[in-house]
Amino acid sequence: MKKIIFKYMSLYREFFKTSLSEELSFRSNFALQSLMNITFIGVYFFTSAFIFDHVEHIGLWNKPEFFLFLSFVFAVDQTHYMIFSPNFWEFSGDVLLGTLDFHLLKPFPTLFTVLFRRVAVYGLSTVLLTYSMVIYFGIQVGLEPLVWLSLPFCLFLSLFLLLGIEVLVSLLNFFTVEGMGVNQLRLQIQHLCRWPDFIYKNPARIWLFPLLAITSIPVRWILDMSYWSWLVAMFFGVLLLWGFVILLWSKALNFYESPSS
Amino acid sequence: MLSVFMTIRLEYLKWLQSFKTSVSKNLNYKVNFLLMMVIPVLVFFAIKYNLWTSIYVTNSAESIKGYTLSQMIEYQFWILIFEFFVRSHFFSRNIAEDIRLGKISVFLLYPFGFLNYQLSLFLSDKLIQFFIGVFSLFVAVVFGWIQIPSLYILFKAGVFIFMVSAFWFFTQLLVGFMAFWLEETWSINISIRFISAFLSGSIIPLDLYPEMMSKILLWTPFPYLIYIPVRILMGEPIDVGFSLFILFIWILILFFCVQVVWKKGLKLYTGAGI
Repeated sequence: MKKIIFKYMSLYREFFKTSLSEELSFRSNFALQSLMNITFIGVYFFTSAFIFDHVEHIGLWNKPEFFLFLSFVFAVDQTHYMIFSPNFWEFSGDVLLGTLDFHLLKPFPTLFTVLFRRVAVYGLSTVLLTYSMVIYFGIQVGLEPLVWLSLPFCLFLSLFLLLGIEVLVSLLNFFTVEGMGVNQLRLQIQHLCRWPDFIYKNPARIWLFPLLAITSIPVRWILDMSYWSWLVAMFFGVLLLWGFVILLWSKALNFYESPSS
Repeated sequence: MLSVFMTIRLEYLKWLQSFKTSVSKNLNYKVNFLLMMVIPVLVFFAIKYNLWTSIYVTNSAESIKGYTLSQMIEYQFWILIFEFFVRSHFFSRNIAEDIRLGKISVFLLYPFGFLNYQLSLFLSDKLIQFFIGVFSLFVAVVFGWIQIPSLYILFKAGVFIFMVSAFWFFTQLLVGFMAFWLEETWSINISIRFISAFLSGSIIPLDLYPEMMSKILLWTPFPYLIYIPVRILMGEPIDVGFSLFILFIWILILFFCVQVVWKKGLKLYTGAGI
């Protein structure tokens, strides 16, 4: 087991090194993309701040609670952006151009190399920024010690729920000619879960719940520990989802027609 | 006289062919087109609709800065429709790619200039968007979500649609031409989109911004991209002349920047891949 983990980690280290050296060859791009991420986060925080100039609450939460929610959302978002996002864009191209063949031939599970081969290293600055924001607003809200300890677990859970849903959406690439639209759909899912579940009215809230759960359940638990059962349910939900993802992934590969061979 | 007529006809055919090719290219990938052009606007609207309803209900607010809930929803509906008319595709990314991969070399040799070609692509996008916009307006009026404004107001909104589209055309060109110096321009494009969504009143009306900021914004192009046209469509008394003047000045600035950047960029262009 230890040997297998080491093998995967050494492969990931190679992916990281390749991505870093590639990005450092275009330094202006490196700076511009960091700036873009910061602008993006800033827009959400300023918008919320201006709303809070006129109202006391957004749904259930006051300003510090809502800002903690936003910080958590962006911590998940930026981690996803750094580790996984570039791979989804490349995956569309791979299916379209037939370069997925190279992944299928590698002595590693295809899903692993497809999801991890590229790292947006420039995202590291904003990842650190958002983690600091979670800590800052966590202190302002006065989180319990147990909640502090559970934060990495919550982040991990949200990330893997989002990732699982996105992999399912990306399977549409096998059935469409142009992948931009599928990626746009992924981005819309991210947009939807950047706001808490309680702002949505039924039936939208019920239909969208798997998406809204990505960020809303962990933050509900973070702010109110009585939601522990929701978090446990989410954990089992994520396990179930990944079982489904792995199954569907292997089925979907049968639909892949390599245009290059 | 005949040669002038022939020249005009040839020019017209070039425009028409580029225009037709672009329309058919867009409509070839219908699902993709729907996911790129329509779904994002609808999702954005759905979020804002739910957000504002939730804010008014949980705070038991009659009005926020002069907006009742129904006025806020009407504001968001008009943004939805206006966005359908003026939303531009990310075509600066294609321009950047053309420059990076050396594809513009052919346009330097063709009897149809690169800028003309880009304009014809842009106009074809606008044609499709016009139909989507008219359809969404029709649906919103039929379902009673908004009241159809007077013809005079629609005319004023039409002028804004034209001006805002021109603004985005030159902005996209300018960003695309940055590829003469930069490896990738999409991050600039996305940043401009975020900033403009925030400062144009696309998320929240500018009345809710700090007063000083709203005053400064009036000298920038942003309020005229969404907030002012939408307020006009809602029947508010707005100084249209001043608004159009400011927007026109910004379009003029962008136009000159585009010319300068294009000329300077071409001197740097090496036509990689030829």
